[in-house]
Parts: sequence; C-alpha cells; structure tokens
Amino acid sequence: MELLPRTLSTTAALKSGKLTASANLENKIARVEKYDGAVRAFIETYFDDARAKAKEIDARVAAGKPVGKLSGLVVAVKNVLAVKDKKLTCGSKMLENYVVPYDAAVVEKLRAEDAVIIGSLNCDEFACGSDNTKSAFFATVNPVSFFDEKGEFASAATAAGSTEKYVPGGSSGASAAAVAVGFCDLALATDTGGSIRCPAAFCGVSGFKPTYGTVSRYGMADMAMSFEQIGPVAPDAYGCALLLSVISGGDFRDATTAKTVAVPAPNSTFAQPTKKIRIGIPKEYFEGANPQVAKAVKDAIGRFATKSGCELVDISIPAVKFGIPAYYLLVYSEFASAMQKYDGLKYGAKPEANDELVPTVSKVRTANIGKECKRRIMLGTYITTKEHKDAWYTKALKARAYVRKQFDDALTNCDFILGPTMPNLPWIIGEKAADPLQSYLEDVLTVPANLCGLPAGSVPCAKIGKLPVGLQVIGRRGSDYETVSLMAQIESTLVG
Amino acid sequence: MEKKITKQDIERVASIARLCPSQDELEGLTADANAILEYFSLIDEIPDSVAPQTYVLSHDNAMRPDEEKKIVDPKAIRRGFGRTQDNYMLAPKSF
Repeated sequence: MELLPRTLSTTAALKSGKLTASANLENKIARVEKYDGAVRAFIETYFDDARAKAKEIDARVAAGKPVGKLSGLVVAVKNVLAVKDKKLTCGSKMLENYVVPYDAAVVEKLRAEDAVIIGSLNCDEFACGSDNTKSAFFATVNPVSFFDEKGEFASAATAAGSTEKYVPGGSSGASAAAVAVGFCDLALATDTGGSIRCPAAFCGVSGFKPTYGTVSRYGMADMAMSFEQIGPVAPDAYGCALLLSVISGGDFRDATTAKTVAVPAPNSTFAQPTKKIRIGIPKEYFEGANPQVAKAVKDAIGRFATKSGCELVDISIPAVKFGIPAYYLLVYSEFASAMQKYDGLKYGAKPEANDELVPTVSKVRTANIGKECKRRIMLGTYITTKEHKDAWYTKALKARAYVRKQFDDALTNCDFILGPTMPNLPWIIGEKAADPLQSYLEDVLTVPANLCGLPAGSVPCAKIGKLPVGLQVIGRRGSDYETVSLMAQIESTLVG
Repeated sequence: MEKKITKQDIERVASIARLCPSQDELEGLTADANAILEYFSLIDEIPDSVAPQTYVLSHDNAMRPDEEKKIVDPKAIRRGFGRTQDNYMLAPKSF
C-alpha cells in the first residue's frame, strides 16, 4: 500500500496548484471504491456533491479568488453530525431513513472553509461502544487487518476471507479507519469517553478531544451532554490542529461555547517546543495495561524526553480506578434522558398506526434500539429513580468531583500527563461481545479526560506486530493548542 | 451495593423507559445489571463529604443577541413526522 500523503504536504500541494481539489477528491474516491468493500467505513457517500464542490473550488483558484483554510481537503463526517439533506442514522435502525434538514455548526464551518465533504461514517449505535461492532448496520474493520507483511493492502478476495479482522476501536471507528486507509484527508468524530482517541490509537492515526466547551455541539445527536466534544481525526497532529482551528469557537446555539474563542491555526513554530515542560507519568496508566503496550509507550516517552529535554516526573493519581464507574453511571443517566426523544412520532422509525400512545412508543423503541443502547437506557432509568438516585447517581457525581480534583492537582504540578491511550491492543471482531463490563473496562485510560473536561489526544507511537499503539497526551483545560503542539513534537521525535 | 436487582425491578424500569423486552432479554438485562453495578459499587469508597459535580464548566448566564433568525424550514421538519394531518404531527391519544 502506498504511503499516505500527510496533511501538510497535501495542503502545500493544493495551495501551490500542483494538486487540484478535483484530483485530490478523485484519488480519495478511487480508494473508497477499491477498499471500502473490505473496510466498510461509509454509511453514505456524497460523491456528486463533493465533485461539484471540488470543481467550484478549482474554478475559484483558477480565477485567483480567495479560498478557505481547508480548501480542497477531503473531509468525512461521523454520522452523528447533521449534514443537511443527508441521512443522520447515528448507526441506529431508529434513524435509518431520517434525512436531517439542517447542518451541524461544525459542518457549516467545514463548508465555509471550503472542505470537500465526501460522506458520512459508521459508528457504534448512538456512539455507545468501543469497537464499532454495535452499529445496527455493519461492523467497520480496522484497515490493519488487511495489510500483509510488506505493508501492501490484501486483495479483495483475501480481505473477504480473512479470519483475523480487528476492530477499529470506537465509537468513531470508521473516522479513524477512513483516515488510516486514505478515504479522506481529515475526519470529524465525537469523543464522550474516548471515542476519538481509542480508534485513533487502534488505527495508527492522530485524534484529539478538545477541552469541554471548545466546539459547538449544535447539530450533534447527543449521547451524554456533559461529556462529549466533537474533534478531529487526521494522519498527523498538524491535521488535527488545522481542523480544530476551523471547528472551534463560540456559538450561541450551544451555550457551553458562548464565551469560547477559536483555537488558533497551527503556525510555523507549531511543532517546536516553546519552553521546557514538565510531564507527569501516572503509574496507574501503566499498571493494568498489557505489558507490551506499557513498555512501548514508556520507551516512546523516554525517546521523546531524551531528544526534547523535557522533565519527566513519576506521579500517582489513585482516583483513576473510580473513572469507569463514575463515567458509566453518569453516561447511563444522561443517555437515558437523551434517548427519550426517539419515540417514532417526531422523526426516525415510524410506528404502526395505534390508538394508544404508550404502547405505540414502546413498540417502536423496542424494535429499533439495539442491545447496548437498551442496557444503558435501562440502567440509567434505574439509577435515577427516586429510590436509587442517592446510592448511584449522586454518588457518581461525587466520584466525578473526586477524580477531577486529583487530575487538577496533578496538572498543577505538571504541564501535561502522558500515558497509553488504550490498555490493550485492538481485538478481533466479536471478542468482548458477551461481557459488557469487559468492554467498558477498555475505556479506563480515556474516560478521566471526559470526566474532567480536559483536552486529550492520541498519537501513534509504536507497532506490536502490525497492531498500532497510541500514546495519550492530556493537557490542562483550555490548553488545546499547546496539547496538539506537544502531540506534533512527539510525532516528529518518533518519526525523525 | 444495595440488594440484588430482580427481574421485576427490570420489568418496572423497562416500563418507565418505554421498552418492552422479551422474557429472555429481561433475564439477560437483570444479570448484566447485577454484574455491572456490583463492580461499580467501588464508588462507595468515595468519601461522602465530597460535593457532587454535575458539570465541568462554571457558567455565567449566556445571552444571545436578540435577532430573529430562520434556522430550519418548518416544512423540512414536518417531513420527519411519523404521521401527519395537515400541518400537524399526529400522535396517538395519551389518556
């Protein structure tokens, strides 16, 4: 498989005129047509609209007219984000044929900066999952499954017969898979408990979850509103920074961003250290991890520290162990509430005619909502009933405060925290399907950033066999530019 | 953890959540709920004196400019309705 052009070289080629928007798009479409039968990333492709947009950009460039920051870059969008007049399925039968009548704020911004939107990407149903197998339609496959020993993509026949198909991570698995295999230059995804960072780590690309309140969630189908952020997935940290600079900023339609200032675009010193930094290495991030993963990440951090001269400090954040229960209990509660709107009356799956409201709504929800989503709705309903609220919901809110305090204290003494993104390597599709708790525990290293609202990203740092390992960078709230910059510094150290 | 969750508890919750799982699904959901909440009872170790936190941002009220804006075409919204009558969404009777 040919090496993918990294974001900076693609933008340079587009700016210089060596690559037209149309030619860039046709390269991507050719790859989709060749490989998406095996990878299965797209819910829907918008090739006709994309070709028209690329042509319009090329005409403007030829006429010497101004173009936007993402001019000619091909972007794909996780299918929980509204793209006007296209399907917004959220990976669920509940919304299988729902066509959304408006653009999400982030999609408006993509259009305003002349991105070429190629299509919508698969995900776990309503973003509930860590491996993309919980989409109601099909499981996206990690592209690493199809690389042979020489790094060539296997033939379609070999791909179809492969017994070792690895998960791409989730819930934004298709966003990372699409970037990894070159279906798009950049992708938009969402991260509620690691849904950008986990797939980025598993597919060997970069992904970034911004500080809570940095990106407007207007037009995003919410899963758990106090946790999630929309963020970029890219071949490199520069791509993440470029897309972040476009999608971030204030929007009165999402009050959490009312006072947000956009993150600056990456400048010429973006990937260079501006001061000596102090990095905390929490022992809890390594203790429960697969030993090969822990060693690979420690080695990568060591190489970075030697080259950059940064200071590494061993720290301890014992509250990490409360992350999973605090996160899931609160997600269940918020998710159960968010899902009430799917009743078959206003949009989505249409119920059979029935004279009674409750049986009509119950029937359409039971038939069209998947197993994991039902589990979360039921548990969320249970722990927020009057009898059980104090024992579970209120206690989880206290656990959230407890985790936040320890991370804030750690980030008072250090500028950043580094560790593995995921405790394990990607697993084979179907593994972990029987036991939901085992699947939840895979999120142990990513949920703290969501509980605390911290910016966090993942960069590829090693491979074990053909399976990628991600290194997680966590920064202070509001230090999004600096956090992505550190991701870029680490990347350049490990590549160079 | 409090007492074990029973199938009857799950049945009641399902009715509140507007879901009607089969008997097999009820058994599975009951077993899952017990296993999950048993592990999650780890949070009982959190000191009771900690103040609960619902949100990571501390907010002042945010006021938007008082300008009329047409955001979405009402006709397009109506196209999503399950059943319609004239310009209205038709819902089954609730009482």
